[in-house]
Amino acid sequence: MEIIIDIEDTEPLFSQLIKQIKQAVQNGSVSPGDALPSIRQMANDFGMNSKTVAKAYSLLERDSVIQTRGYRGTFIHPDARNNCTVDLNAWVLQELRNKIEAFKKAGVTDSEIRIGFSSAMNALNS
Amino acid sequence: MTFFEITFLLLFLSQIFLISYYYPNEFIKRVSYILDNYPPSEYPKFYPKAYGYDSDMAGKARLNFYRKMNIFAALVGFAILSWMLITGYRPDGSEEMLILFYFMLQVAPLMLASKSTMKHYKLMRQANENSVRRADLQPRRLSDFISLKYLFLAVLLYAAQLVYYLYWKDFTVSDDPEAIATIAGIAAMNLIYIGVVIRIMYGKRLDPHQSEKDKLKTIGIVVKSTLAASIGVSIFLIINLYVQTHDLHHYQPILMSIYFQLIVSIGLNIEFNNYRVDDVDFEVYRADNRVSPT
Repeated sequence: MEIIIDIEDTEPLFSQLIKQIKQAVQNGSVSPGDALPSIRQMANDFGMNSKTVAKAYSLLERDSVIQTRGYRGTFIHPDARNNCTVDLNAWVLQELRNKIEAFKKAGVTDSEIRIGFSSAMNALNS
Repeated sequence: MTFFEITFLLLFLSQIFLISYYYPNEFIKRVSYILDNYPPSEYPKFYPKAYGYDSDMAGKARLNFYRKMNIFAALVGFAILSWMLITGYRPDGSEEMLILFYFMLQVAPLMLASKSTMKHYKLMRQANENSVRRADLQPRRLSDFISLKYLFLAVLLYAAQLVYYLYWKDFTVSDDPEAIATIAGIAAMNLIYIGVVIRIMYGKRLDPHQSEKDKLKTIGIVVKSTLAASIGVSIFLIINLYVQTHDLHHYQPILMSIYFQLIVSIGLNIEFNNYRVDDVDFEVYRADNRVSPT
């Protein structure tokens, strides 16, 4: 199966790549357990930086769409089809919205929420 | 004339015919077919300088130069052969260098053609304005292109020739710079073969427009030719060592000529049989071939 990306598209390359691989999983072009090309092979085929492919693979792995089995390579995850429909961005947005609504009900102001969010992020990252 | 002398002269004649006439002619037929049937006006992407440049004529001029170089190599061969016959020269087995240098002269046009092809691909990549890029969603493995038993055979033959050579040297090569250089040279050659295979399988696309099917065919040809070359070198070295250890030195030029003819024939036959010009997808080289991401 061939995947196609447009380097002049406004959508980031890694995002196009993720979308195409998820589409391939959803339409059955690739099945759970199928091997994927190495990062180097795909980057050279596209003529793009291997870091871009690595980023796409790492996000797909995070979403359990693909899995890396050490030196044997990268494969489609057994639950890839179900996991493709999970939108982590939408989930994060929903979770934050619920929390913010709860804060507001308790009388916390917008600036207090922003400062609190920023402090929590800094504490987590430090 | 002895049987050995007749064999030598016939093999030399066959070397001239195969490497400087037959295969160059087949190559010229293929390129002429492409130039005649897929002109720059209709397939500009195949001719990177086609924009404002008469690349049809340039292609024909290059082909003509290739033809002339091969005619020159054939003439040199006939001159050597004629000199041998006129002067009554009797081959005695010391013609190894003659065969080697003549072979180098014969393959020089092929080397230049390969270099020109690589330059052509580079120009194609530079002229590529298409923002749409394609990649196969399947990993490429060596077993997709060759049977692993041939790979095993190549490794086995490499090991066999190495052991045979060490045995010939009584396993004492540490203070023999010539032996070390020979072993290192053969190892380096095989490493280059491995590098070529890795480059073609996982490296940058040579032709940015080539269809995936044709690309896989190209990879297959390079992998098969490289493996054949590695197997051929090992067999040649084993036989060459055998004739040296059994005092059959005078057969070395004959063996060398057979080896050169076989290696060129196998390599080019793999290409000609696996990559037929009329099977190549030339539609990808048309001017308006633009595919949108799905």
